[in-house]
Amino acid sequence: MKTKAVIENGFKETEIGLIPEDWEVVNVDKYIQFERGTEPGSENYNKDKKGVRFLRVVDISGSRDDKTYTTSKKLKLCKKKDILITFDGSPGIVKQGLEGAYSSGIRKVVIINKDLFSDYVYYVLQTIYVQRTIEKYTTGVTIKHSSKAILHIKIPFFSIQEQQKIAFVLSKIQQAIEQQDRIIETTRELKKSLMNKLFTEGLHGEEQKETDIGLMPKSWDVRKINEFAKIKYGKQKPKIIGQIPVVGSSRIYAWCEKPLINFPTLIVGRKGNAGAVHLFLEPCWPSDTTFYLEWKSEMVTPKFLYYYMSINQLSGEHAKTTIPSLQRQDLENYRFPFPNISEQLDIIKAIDKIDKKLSQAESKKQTFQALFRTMLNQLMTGKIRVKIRVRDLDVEVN
Amino acid sequence: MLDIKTLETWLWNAACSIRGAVDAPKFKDYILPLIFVKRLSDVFEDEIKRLSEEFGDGETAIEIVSKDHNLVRFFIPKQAAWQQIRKQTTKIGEKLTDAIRAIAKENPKLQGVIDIVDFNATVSGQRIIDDGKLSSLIEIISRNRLGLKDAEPDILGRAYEYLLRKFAEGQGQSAGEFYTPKEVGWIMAYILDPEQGQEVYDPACGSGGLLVKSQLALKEKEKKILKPLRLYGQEQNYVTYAMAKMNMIIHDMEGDIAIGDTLRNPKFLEGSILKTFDLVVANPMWNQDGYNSEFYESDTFNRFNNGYPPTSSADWGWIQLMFASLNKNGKAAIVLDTGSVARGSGNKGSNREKEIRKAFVDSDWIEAVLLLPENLFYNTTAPGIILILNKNKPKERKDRIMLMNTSLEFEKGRPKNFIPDDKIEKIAKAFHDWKNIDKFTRIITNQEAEKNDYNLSPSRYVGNGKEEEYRDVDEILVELAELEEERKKTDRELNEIMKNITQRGFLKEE
Repeated sequence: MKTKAVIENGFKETEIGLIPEDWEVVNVDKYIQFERGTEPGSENYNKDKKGVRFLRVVDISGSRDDKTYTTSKKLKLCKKKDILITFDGSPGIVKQGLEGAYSSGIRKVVIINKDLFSDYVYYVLQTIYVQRTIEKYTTGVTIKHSSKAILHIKIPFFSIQEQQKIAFVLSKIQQAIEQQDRIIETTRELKKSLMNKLFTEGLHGEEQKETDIGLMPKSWDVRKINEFAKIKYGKQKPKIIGQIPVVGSSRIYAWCEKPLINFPTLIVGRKGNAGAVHLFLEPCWPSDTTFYLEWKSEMVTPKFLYYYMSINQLSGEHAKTTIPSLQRQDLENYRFPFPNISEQLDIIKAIDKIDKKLSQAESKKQTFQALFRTMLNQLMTGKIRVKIRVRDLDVEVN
Repeated sequence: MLDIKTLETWLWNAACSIRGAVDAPKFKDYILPLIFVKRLSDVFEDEIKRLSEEFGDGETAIEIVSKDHNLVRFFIPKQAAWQQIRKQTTKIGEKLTDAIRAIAKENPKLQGVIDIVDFNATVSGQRIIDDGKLSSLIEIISRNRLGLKDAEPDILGRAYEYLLRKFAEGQGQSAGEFYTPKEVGWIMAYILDPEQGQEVYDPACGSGGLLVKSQLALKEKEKKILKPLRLYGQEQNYVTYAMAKMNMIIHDMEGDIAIGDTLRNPKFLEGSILKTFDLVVANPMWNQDGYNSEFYESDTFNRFNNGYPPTSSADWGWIQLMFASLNKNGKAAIVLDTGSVARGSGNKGSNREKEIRKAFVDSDWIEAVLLLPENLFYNTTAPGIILILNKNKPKERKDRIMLMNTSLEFEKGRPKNFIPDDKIEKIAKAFHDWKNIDKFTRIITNQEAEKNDYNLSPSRYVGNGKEEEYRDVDEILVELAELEEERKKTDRELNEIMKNITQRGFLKEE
């Protein structure tokens, strides 16, 4: 037992660090039960929405999008308001708002003491106090287990009114993050739809014509890539490390000293992520799993072609080998809608603006996330105390 | 008798004689009242002829009718008779305007309907339509008689609607006017299947086309109309309102048309509560903005009990208004954009439109959603949907919703696609048969709607082989507008909170 020395300014030293004098530290297992889920076996899974939604650790961590359902009878169920926490696989992830049956790697948080406010629990489980303990008691290398941590988790405890205030502030920040998320998601969708609209309708409200690559404005043509560019093979990555990006079929994967090319180009995945398109305006090194374009004409803006190709991707699926691979003539004969250069530039401008909005929304989200982490820490250590009443905080502001 | 084709060609020729002189959206405002006046005048002549047989001679008949206007449909004073109008050679615009005002003066029902156009109007000292153009227009209109024996009300009405459609096609739509393609009107009428004596209401009635079609659908079905429908409409734009009045009269139908913004100021009331109807039809403006939460909150007619729509789209404001206008067995058919049945579904977090939609599904008020083909409407290429509400679904339809994908049921047209008659019938029949038809209809339970997070977009449930890869840009923009509106609100709230607890905010003071 440590002696609890009283520190200046009304703080005291405890086993979880400095906290305000009027707070306590409690063992979480006296206040909360963690109800373990069940495992009905993968033969009882389905993707056809039969039965109830089955929540696995991957659904909590958000690493998979596909939803699983189960018709099994031996299930533990949770509602949207329930707090879930993982103790296996990726331990320590806390989630609320999911409904269905939950797997054995997940625990449902059941509060057994009326002095603990549910939303406070949701946030306190995300604090470093809890996360560090879970980390400390994690065993297993490939599949992690940390249910032993439950007996050791300690949290700060204080009046339910103050718990409510802290939860309220954090939930507002969280709401701001979620909204930013939805704006990003919707703007991405807008970009996709707008690109399609621009490539089929153009910018000048022209009448459209039917072509074998789809509708497009009457004044446009259908042209092939090899009319404007030579298709070149990328080269093996050089050994000397430097500042120039080496581009593979799916991304930049290394840096080298000298560029292979020093003009703006499109790099198209040949093997691996066959058909993926990357735009490089600065000098770079396309690797040997890619093709790149060397321009014969300035009538096509690389970015215009890039945007079109990114929503009308080629694939290497027809390749006779097991690894999908793109053939050079597929790329040479790739056809695309071709407006005059000034309309190309206007189209690029419109799409670029959406990109700008997207990156602004992304950075705003990241800033809110940083604010959340800081406030979570400051509020849960009592460095910032919320003094006003919740009622006063919850004002409609106009 | 004039057949419909002859009528249409003739009226369109008349329209063309002044086209170019006037801005496209405006010129229908001149020609439609003139055709209307021609009809009134010819019918009056017929009625006088009939009465002269009764009273002995024409002069006596006119004398008696001048004293008692109730003997005729409309009383046309001598100086306003078409023959007089036609005789003018000078100051045509001025005299025409006077003649029309004289008619309105004798017939209170026509006040604010035919006398709103000034044929003598000028813009910066120039006549909008000069006397020469007016004179040739009058001549063309004079070529055919439009009396009772020359043109049946239905046929004339259809030709009149044809003109409205032509104007809409010629980009003749000004802001706030959304002429509903007639096929869509027929589908709505056949689905609602009006019965004798029912009351039908259109809170965004435009030129009255949907109301007219309900009556015509009833006529098609019944051998004898003992009790016609009672039609009620409200329209905000006064020119369109006048058009609706004329449309009713030309079709020989009785309609009570009111003027004003139905969301702000509904005109059909019983005391202080909304009048309710058997059937409600409308094609309100899609994604109308400008109605905020304060507006919905201050509503005194109990219309928005299931939630306040976002400022970016009043779609669910209209739907709730129409729902509140239904009697206990009432049914409604509403044309809106596809986004109204899908927006907000699948999103994390709450969305106001989704929450209202959820309330409608959970209360079992939605009977069907039909996806229409694309490029049908005049102001957009977006496809649109018809939402069918039913306050008292038949037993076998309880807790069920029919989703119909009619996106392939059209023929290509220029500038707009259209739905041919056999396909209109097919669509209405599929609704009444209430069966699952592969790639066309699917009946889902309300629980299934819930599982899909209350997304009622028909293409989600009924694929027709034609994959829809891209969502409509407008639809996404409306969704984004709502998100931005909510984000701003949260930003302000969070800013206040941070200021309260740390003395520092992140928004600039406005």
